[in-house]
Amino acid sequence: MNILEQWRYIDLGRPNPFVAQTFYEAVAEAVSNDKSPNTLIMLNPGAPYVCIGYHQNINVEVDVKYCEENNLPIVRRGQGGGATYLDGNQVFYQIIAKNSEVVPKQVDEMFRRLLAVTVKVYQRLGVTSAKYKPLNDVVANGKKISGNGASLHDKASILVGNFIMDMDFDRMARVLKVPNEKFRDKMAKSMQEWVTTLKRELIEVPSPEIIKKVYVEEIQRILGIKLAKSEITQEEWSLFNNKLLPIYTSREWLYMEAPYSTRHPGRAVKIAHDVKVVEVDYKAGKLIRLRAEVKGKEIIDIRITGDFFATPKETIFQLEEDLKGKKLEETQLQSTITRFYAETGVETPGITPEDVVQALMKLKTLL
Amino acid sequence: MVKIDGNDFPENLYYHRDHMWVKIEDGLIRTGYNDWAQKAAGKLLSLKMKRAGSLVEQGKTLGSIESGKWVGSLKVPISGELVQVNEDALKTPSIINKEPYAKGWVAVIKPSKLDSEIKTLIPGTDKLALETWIKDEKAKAKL
Repeated sequence: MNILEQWRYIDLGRPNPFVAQTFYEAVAEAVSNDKSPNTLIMLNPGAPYVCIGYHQNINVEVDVKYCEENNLPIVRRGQGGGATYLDGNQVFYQIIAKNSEVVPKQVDEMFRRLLAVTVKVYQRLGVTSAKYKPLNDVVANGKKISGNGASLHDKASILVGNFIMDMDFDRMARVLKVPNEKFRDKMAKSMQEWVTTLKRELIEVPSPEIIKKVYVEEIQRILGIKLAKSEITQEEWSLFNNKLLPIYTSREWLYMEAPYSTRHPGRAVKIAHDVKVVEVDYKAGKLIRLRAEVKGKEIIDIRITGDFFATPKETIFQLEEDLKGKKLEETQLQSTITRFYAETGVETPGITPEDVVQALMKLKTLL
Repeated sequence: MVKIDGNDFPENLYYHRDHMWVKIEDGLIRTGYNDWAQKAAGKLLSLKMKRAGSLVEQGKTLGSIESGKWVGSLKVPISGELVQVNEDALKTPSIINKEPYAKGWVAVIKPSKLDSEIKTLIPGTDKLALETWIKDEKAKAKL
């Protein structure tokens, strides 16, 4: 393949969480101002931390008190997506490019092009089932195996992502804010089911050095670029330490108000690609609480509780079974609920069949 | 309506090169994201804007958008005072995708330098300039 562009490659080693998660913004500023070439950064986080997406509300998403008590820094990144626990068991790649023929500006095309490298690397490492799942996921046997986000920093495009060698699923479930412990249990179980790692997929986990080596080979081959190993410039360090780090460590940045569109009743946690665990309360004559695992619009699993009584009470378990596999579409739900009430003869004082339908439709607003 | 490669550019608007459109309305300007840009971004899930009352400068950040874990910024097309933000778009950002020039407007600005700054925008009546600009953008977007 003809080499199109000359890029810089930086191995940042095992830096602290703020450097791991935000230094690339300084590089992006330098690239945007033509002070640095297009750059690939790779690293392992040197310590564990919690990372939230640019548009998230920290108090909604993260158990801040738990993080403080356990010396877990919380870092807000400049890219989208959700909250996650990160540590030295991941290898990060961070691509920063301006006016690059190999980095499309069209968002879906950018993800497709750049994640082709992640997919190929996983395949070379032995995860032969790895594949790209639009818009921005890499999966292995249908399970998420890489997290990725992107942004535009002035004129430079940024894509950040990771290879997951291993994951502390318990910690991941613990750091997120939940309405109750049953939600946490459901969320933890869902993560185990829908997220995978190199440790789960392979007998032997490759070292970070091998992962980086293979990535460097594949990004050059697939994108048609030439990487030259280099160091961070004095200007970039100065920009980071003097201008950007004060912003990223400020209370104002961390507790930034989230957009209106992210404010929903109830709680929703995205587990992987189109899988979410959601919980909502619906107040009819009595309270209905729904907690569900949803894939796309399809109910995988649901629990129906609240302060109402069902007679006979076991019939609620049947309704939960009946709803599995159903889509959160009003007409289909009305049919399912009507049939349930007719066949079981259940009585639910304070709750009508329409209330149950509307509670489910309220759940849908969280998707 | 000017149509360039399937993207709409109403003739009665002006276009900032950071992809905001501008409509002059009784001494104020209304602005939003153009059709090409909303398609390139994908379905918008989040929109955050500066507050009404803020002073905004051409080329600086007016707000941020998110689609599929990609975050981009909306730039100020004309300097002035931000007098109104579209609450509907804040609640449902995808309205920008569906009606970028109608219900998907994002802000109304009371301009402070309209006469000088409007000259830096591409008029919707200048089809050649629009075509040249979008052709360059498409090349960068690798479409």
